Amino acid sequence: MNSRFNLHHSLFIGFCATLLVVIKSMLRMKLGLSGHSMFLMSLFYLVCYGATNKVGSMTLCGLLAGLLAMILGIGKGGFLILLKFTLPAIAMDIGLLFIANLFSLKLRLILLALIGSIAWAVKSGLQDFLVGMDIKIVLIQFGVNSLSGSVFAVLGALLVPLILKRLDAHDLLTKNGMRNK
Amino acid sequence: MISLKSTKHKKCRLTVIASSVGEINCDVFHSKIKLIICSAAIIFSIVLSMSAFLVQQENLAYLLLVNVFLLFHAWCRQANLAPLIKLFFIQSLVTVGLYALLYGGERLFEAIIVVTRIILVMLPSWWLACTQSSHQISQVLGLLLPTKWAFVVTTSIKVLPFIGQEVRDIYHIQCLRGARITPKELINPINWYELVQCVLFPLLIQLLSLSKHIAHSANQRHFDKSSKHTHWPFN
Repeated sequence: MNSRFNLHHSLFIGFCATLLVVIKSMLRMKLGLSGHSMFLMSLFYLVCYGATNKVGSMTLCGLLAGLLAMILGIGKGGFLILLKFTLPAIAMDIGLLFIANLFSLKLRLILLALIGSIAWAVKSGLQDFLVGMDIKIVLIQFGVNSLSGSVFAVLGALLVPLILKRLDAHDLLTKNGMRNK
Repeated sequence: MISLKSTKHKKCRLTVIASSVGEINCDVFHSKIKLIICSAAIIFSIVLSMSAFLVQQENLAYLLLVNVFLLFHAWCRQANLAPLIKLFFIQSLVTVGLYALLYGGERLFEAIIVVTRIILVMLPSWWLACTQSSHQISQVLGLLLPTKWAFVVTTSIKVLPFIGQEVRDIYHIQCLRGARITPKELINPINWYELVQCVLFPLLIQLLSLSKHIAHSANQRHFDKSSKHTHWPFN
């Protein structure tokens, strides 16, 4: 794990991960929609990126969320839940390496959310494939997952600029954060 | 006379100290054994989960047997079986339904095997969460993580009750303010955005400011300065 993050940012990433895990476990009871978890994942990962403005913050948030889900016993995945949280985050961080300064903040966030949702769909598709499911059904589920995941992820990403604006208004974004960007 | 009394007193204190040291040693020994058992359980559940992917169809029965034993063990420890049963029904409904829709009744056996494998992937982790306490799992993870991140994970878990209280306070204040976020009004999806705006946004602001304060307090206590950290109560 990276020491470039100071304790303040590390703690914020940890709190975001906790909130993500807790809200996800609460929503699991109420909703049966596939892909709704991508809304929370993209929202919290991108808030972490916005607050720290560093590559790696999303991966760290995903790792911590996976660890916390394992520790708190939330979710049915156990070890797999670590992959479930981490894979989209890693994909988003890799995507960020290529588009770090290319577009406006809003467009960049939407693109990152799309990358994350596709990685999420690939992960569940791969899991089904390894289990021995028929390739046709794997592809159908991949299509449905990536479509519904993308819709939810973009919805989450659209909220992030508003949150960053609020955080900036409270003078909580340091010089590293997305201030004036 | 006075000297006799004082020696008696000292002896008595020494025996009390010796017995408390013995108790602490016993506690340390027991906690170490529990830690080893928990580490073994974590490794066992990971291996079992991964083998559900890799094991060939002929050997799936052995894996099923081991998992039935785990299920029985968890049941003996009064674990809640409801989430597993719910997962089983949802998973079989989706997978068997899709197979039936595409291929009719021909490949239903294959669908059942797939559902079984998915359940076998999930079951060991569920068993781990049911039988091992979260405190022990976090202790094991603390051995693997760097100190700073172990501190972050522990603080995040400790801050959970605070987050719950904060959410309740913000929710009640916003309701008093007239926000349309009461359970009755949340049935309408148009009001969901108001819930995010009125509860989630202030909560994130609160958390960022809290993390700033905790980081300041930890740095004031020279958290980053020394490489060797002390742990309460055994160190």
